[in-house]
Amino acid sequence: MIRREEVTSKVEVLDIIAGEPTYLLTAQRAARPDGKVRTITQKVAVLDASVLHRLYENANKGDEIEVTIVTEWSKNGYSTYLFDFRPISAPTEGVTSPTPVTVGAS
Amino acid sequence: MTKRTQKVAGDLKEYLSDVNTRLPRRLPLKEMAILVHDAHVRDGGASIHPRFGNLKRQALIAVSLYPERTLRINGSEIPFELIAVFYKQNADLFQDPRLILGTWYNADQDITYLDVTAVFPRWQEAVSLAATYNQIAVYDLALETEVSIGGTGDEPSDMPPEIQRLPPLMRMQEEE
Repeated sequence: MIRREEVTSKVEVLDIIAGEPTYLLTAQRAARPDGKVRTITQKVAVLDASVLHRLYENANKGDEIEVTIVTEWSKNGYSTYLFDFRPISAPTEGVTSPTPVTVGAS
Repeated sequence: MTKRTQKVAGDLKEYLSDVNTRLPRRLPLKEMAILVHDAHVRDGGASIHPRFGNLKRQALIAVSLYPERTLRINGSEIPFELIAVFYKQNADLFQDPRLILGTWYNADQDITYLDVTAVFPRWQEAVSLAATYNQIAVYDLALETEVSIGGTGDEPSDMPPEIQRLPPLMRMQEEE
């Protein structure tokens, strides 16, 4: 393995998508040093049964949670999954803040 | 007009709007990794096309249709070897000329993201597609501005497999 990356950050829960595996879909407002902001969405596999159980118990759409996502890199590829999480707050404001536009506008 | 006599497109917009052009050769992996790395260090984010290189400030709208391909790493710098591995693992998607490798540095949390992003010259095409998939926002590369389109980000129940999310590639003459 080249490296194991463990990244912890605050995200908003968008959805928990049941399946094999189940995925956690999150969003995060991310500001660059120059002030430019983008919304980053990530869909990460939940492989650990106990983490998945706690996720269903403690995380709902709109909640802010702190996730730890692990990516294991090798020379030939990588895999990434939700390693752990902890609830932070009840639903507050969504990540969407720019002024909406009409679909089809040009 | 045979492929051999077709002119090589100067940029993605020209390629998509002129059926008489062809794509330039694919950038070597090492060159691609250097472009991504250097643009990311310089600008805090990169939008690199596998054939056309850096798309910074071009008149394109970016839509993130592949959240399952998004990765995050700690810090503001992306090691060359990780860029190369990311690119190789997502090579299936990078076959489509509308898909690029994107990076973004989140200064507040000291995290860098890598993703596969779709880009479109036409605003309406980008926004319609983003709306179809309930996206929160699109990103205007020329203005370097995110524009909300009103979606919630939830995945639609009929979300197609990754390889089918883009509409068929329709190259056409540019509108007047």
